Amino acid sequence: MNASERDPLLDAVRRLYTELDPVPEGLTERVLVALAVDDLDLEFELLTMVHRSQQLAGVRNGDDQKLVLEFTAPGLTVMLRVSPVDGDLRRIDGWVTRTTDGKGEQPELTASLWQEAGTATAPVGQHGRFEFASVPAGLSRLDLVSTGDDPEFRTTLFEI
Amino acid sequence: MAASDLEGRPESAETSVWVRAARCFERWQGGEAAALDELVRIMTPVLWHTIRAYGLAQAAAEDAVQNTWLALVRNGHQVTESAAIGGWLLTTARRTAWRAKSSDTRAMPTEDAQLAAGLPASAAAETSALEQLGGSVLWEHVRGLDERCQRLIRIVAFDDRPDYSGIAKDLGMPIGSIGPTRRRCLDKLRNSLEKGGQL
Repeated sequence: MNASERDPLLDAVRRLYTELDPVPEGLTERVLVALAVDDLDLEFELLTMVHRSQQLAGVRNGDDQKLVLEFTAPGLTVMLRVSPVDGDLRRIDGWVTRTTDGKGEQPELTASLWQEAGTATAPVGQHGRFEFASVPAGLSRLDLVSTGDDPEFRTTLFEI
Repeated sequence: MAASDLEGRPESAETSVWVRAARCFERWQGGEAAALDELVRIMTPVLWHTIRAYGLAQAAAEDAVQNTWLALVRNGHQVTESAAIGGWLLTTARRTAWRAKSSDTRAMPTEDAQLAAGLPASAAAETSALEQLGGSVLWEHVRGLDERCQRLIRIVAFDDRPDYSGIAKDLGMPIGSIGPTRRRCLDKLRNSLEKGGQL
């Protein structure tokens, strides 16, 4: 459709949403960082964030807030609970759930947390649990790396 | 076509998004890495509004935008015509949004109230009645439409060449009905504004 045939009402609606629900500050920059740190030669299933929420653990200030994140990809979901440890340090408790039928042995997974400061790894236990006891706050990305031939999973960049 | 051929041409801001995106994509495919950054800056707002039209919460919508771009650097070679890049990105964004939306079984808290709080009472002084229409007034009328109308109108407001068959599938409507529904939704909005004495 040519722009000149456009209903002017649509332009008004467009201005409305641009003003009402603007692109979040820093999103474009985060996308550019995500693209810059993405190693294209590796094949990953992309995990998509479906939920993010703050949970108030105590009644005092925001320091007590736990962050809950949930990601999904075909066949697998990951839930992360992030709690403040001390200052800029965070504890992450993670749970991996496979949504496909558990037929036979599940391959062992390793969780690998990429951050600007470096990468930390943690084994995923029998029941899908893993933890990072103390990692810096900031931009992070989680990979789930398999020992078998199964596909590996990667989240997008997220802030903890 | 060389970029300079197009630059002198009077284009509406809307047309130029698609043309500029196609040019950037072409340059990126030609090996100019910085052209991808430019493409991201041009198309991210369009992707954002399309994804939000599917009702994703803020964080999930940001994530879907990121995933759309990751999909481009991984699968962008599938796009053989540079003019098709805008459509490819929007289709990918819609699929990502749809997948995320259907995986999140939680009830979505409505963000309407928060959204409206950010609106100034009136738009900057402009000429036509529509342009003078305050954001909060228009929002009241848009909110009065059913959810399907609201989504469809938001999607087409940011996409001049909408992929009707994809949208039809996502919104659970027959393809042939998207065009008429779009007109009906816009008519409803216009009638509502007229009734309210806004037009």
